[in-house]
Amino acid sequence: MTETYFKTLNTSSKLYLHLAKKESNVTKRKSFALSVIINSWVLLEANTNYLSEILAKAKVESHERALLLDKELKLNDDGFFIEIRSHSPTLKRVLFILRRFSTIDIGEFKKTEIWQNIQNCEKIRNDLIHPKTITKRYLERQITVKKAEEFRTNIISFIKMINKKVLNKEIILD
Amino acid sequence: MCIIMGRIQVVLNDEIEKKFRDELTKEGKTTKGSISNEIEKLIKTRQSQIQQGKFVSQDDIKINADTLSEALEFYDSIDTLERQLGINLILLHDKKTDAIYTVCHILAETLINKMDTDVPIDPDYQAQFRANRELRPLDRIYLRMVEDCKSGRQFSDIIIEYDTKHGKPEKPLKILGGQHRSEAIKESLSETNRYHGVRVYFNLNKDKRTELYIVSNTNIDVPSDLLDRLEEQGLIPPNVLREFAWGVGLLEPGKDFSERKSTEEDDIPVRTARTFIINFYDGKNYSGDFDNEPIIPALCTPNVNDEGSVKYRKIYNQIKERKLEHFKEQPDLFEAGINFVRLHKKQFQTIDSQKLKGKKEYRSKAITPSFISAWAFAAGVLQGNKNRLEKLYKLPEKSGTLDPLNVEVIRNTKLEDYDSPTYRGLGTRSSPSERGRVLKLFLLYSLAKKEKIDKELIIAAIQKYHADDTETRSKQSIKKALA
Repeated sequence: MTETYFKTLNTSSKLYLHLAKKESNVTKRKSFALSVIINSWVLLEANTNYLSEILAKAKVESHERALLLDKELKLNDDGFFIEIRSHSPTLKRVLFILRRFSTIDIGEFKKTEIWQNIQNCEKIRNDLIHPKTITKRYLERQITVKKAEEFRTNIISFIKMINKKVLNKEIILD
Repeated sequence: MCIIMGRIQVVLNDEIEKKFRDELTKEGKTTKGSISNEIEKLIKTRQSQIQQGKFVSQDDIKINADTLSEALEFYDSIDTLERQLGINLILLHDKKTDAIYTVCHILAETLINKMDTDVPIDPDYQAQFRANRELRPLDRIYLRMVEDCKSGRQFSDIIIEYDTKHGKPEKPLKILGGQHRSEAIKESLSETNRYHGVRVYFNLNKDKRTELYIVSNTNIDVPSDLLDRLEEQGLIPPNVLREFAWGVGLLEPGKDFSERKSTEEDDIPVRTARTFIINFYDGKNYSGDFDNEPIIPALCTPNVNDEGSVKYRKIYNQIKERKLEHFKEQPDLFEAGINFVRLHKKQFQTIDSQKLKGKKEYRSKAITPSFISAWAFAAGVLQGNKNRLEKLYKLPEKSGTLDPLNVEVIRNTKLEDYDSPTYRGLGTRSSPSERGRVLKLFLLYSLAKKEKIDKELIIAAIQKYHADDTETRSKQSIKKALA
């Protein structure tokens, strides 16, 4: 099996989960759980970027291509459109991909459990990546081994679903 | 005259005795005891008539009561031609399997009504496992059988077991051998209803049934490429494909198509040449946005009535009807053929001169189904764009000392994290997506500034194919939703 970035991230989150489950020290256990969450989210971002890179090769409108490649079109002073770097939130981009390249009805999809779960994951990710006040109570309630495992499971299910719906191919993570 | 034979006394009148003696004299049987021997023979023959008016048997076989009862039931319940004509059926003995059987003729309609092709080998204990292979309704031999049957051909030696004891007693004629012939008879019944020859076995057990099934279904394997070659030989006008292959160098002049898949330089089966032809035409006639669509080049599978073979026959018919020139007389096709052979020869010779593991496979990469179909399609579709066509044709020169298809890189490139671990590199298999990917490679190469095929180009081609495939599917679903 060739080692790739997706597989490394997947293995990494799996490994931290294993360590977290075995660890008796609370602080260490929380650290491992935190790594599970962050590595899992990075896996989703990496996969979304890769999928976007492939889809940008299709015959799409220039603004769609720009969005897929984390750019946007802006009018410059000479009256030409130019591409500038711009970042859309990952889930927003995933929704665009699903709407544009699959048969999914986005309205219906937003009512599903898988979408609710992934939105919860995004909220946790935002709290951790852009911390304001992370209280001790938050750490105790959100960063548990059980929550980390759920987070990882939800991310992987979501990644598998997107790839199947869009590329019509199974992604191999193990 | 009185003759004493043990306890049987036979009395003949003078006239019959004279006639009898004269016949024996003619046959040279004048010694003492000849008359007794003849009468003994007559008695034995009389004894062997098991059931007068129904069966006669070989004189040296023993038939048990169950077998005989089954045979009589068969005679009474199945309307054979022999029964209609008042002829006895002969019970024969297959010593090898120790099975009793008869040979007769049954009308197609009767056969269809009473036959069962879904036969288990062991109906007593393993009724779920079937004896017959899967029907191949698109096999050319089968299609020919149907045509022949519709034209009145009578089949013979269909192997049947008469069995009312197991599943479907209303269909007691269990087909052990001749499933395709039986289906052909069924398919042509609406047009013709003729007698067909059958061999009917009685009272079989599992071992006898297995042996009969194996014997009835075993024949020496005829390679399907050979069947293709035979078909090609029979086409009118003759030698169109062969002369094209000789002309462009796919085959050494005078040499015939191979009867099997080969990895030699100029040894190709009919399917390879046909695949080239149909894809060139498909490409040439393609009117879509070929750079942005997920096109799948077609294949001619040997001895199967697939899409590719149907296309080939249509093209050939146009030649027959003089609507199209012979392949070698068409300059664009001929030029494409010559350029493809240049690619193949460069690939073959470059790899052949290297010390490589698996070089037989690498050197003949250009003539693998996915590559030849994709290259021919690209050559056809680029006929309207001379610059890109020239780039494609120049690949052998532009690749320098490298093998033009760069198989070492092709072998190790895949859609990472999506292609299975057993994936053996682009174009190794001939699945539709592989053919589509290879076509993208040639189309991208013809556009690219690069002179050689490299990893970047291969990855781009693979990704481009899947991007176009996804885009097309999403467009189709939108169209469907709005319809």
